[in-house]
Amino acid sequence: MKYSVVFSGASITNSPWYTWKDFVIERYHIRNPVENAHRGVGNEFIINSTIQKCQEHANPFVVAMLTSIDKWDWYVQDSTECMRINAHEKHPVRNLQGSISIGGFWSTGSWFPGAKEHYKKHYYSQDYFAFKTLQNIFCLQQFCKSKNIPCVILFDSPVLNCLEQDINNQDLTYKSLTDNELCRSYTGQIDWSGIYQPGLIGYCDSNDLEWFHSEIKGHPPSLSHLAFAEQHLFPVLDSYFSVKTLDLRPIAQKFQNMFYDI
Amino acid sequence: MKSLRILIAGDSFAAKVQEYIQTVGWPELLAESFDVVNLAQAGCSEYRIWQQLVTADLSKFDCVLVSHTSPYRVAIRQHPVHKTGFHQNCDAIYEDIKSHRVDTLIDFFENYFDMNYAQDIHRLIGQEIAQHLTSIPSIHMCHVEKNLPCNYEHMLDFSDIWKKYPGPVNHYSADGNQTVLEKVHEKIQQLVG
Repeated sequence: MKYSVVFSGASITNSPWYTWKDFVIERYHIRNPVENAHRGVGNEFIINSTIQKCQEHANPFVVAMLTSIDKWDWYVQDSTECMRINAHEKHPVRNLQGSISIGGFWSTGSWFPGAKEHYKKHYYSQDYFAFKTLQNIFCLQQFCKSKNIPCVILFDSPVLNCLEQDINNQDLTYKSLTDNELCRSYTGQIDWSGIYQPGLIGYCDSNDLEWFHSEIKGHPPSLSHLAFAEQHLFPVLDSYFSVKTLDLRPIAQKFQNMFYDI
Repeated sequence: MKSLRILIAGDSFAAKVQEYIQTVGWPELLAESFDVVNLAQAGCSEYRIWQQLVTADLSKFDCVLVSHTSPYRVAIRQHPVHKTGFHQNCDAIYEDIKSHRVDTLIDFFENYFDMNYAQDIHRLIGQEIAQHLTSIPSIHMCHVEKNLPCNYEHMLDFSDIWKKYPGPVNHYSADGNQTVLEKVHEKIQQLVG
């Protein structure tokens, strides 16, 4: 079957160099990929925009890389007002289609300007945002199941065990972020069988592959993306797509230098 | 096989989960092969693990599994946040206290808590546990680096396994629970099989 492959994710998926997504496109010669990865976005945006993309394209096939739970998205009615209140804010507001818009998701990654900083200090709950990520995973799985859409969920890091704020300090000490009452309502409902939970960064860390840069923090370079994809993504996708380009190492090597040149 | 009687003491790594998340972890799977009494409780301190062991009648068991916990978990009478459910008997640890904004305990951890004292007490309780278990074969486990309070004759360190197979059941994925089960099973067989 000819699929519309929806590639969703945050900045690790949308890096300046070749990432897992680009290697998938190259390996299978995916035509008209649906690019749905944006810098700074959190899991609420990633998943809900993925569902939106699935409804916009025929025969969708989802490959979504989720991100840390402590990056959250706020839906705002008026981005002009949002930017006025949160002066010097650089992240745009995007609608579900991924376009910059007046109303939409204000996703700021691990940067918490103005009102978000206030919220983080006084109201933020780690349990709740872990719960929101589980809720979104469940939602995506159920949506795809009901529509018979193949769905591969990836993690960009051990998102249920490490926070972005720790990863930014190169700290991959595991914690159990979902080991609480809120999350427990979803942990038993989710199909974990195809989700490799250490994620890209956890894989890199376990296999002595580069993933950290002093300037851009946890953003693995191309060779690390390729190694991860070869181990945890291609074996799944090979049963849906025929392999057209086998050796992706030369191209990964070429883009590897971009990481060193930052 | 089922006649071997196993006592489990420890923290959430070894606690029964089925009641809370309608699935089973390695402790429940282990109970399919052995007669298991599981006293482990999520979030408990090393002090409480020692209490689990001293209140048990060791003469009723062939082997004891101990899942050791962090030296930085402090025993408290009643947790200010987790009053029911899986963590109802848990003790205080800084990350959890901070995330739930319990100001009095944040103040304690940030301004008064002595990490050296905690490490020494952890080691002393660990030695006391070893002493208490001299009459029975015991296997000492941890899944976070540096959580083993002292050296024991029979140890299982799962910290590398956790990094490979994190997940929602006893902190592990289904494959992780299976791996832990196999290693525990093998160790029990070596020791008392």
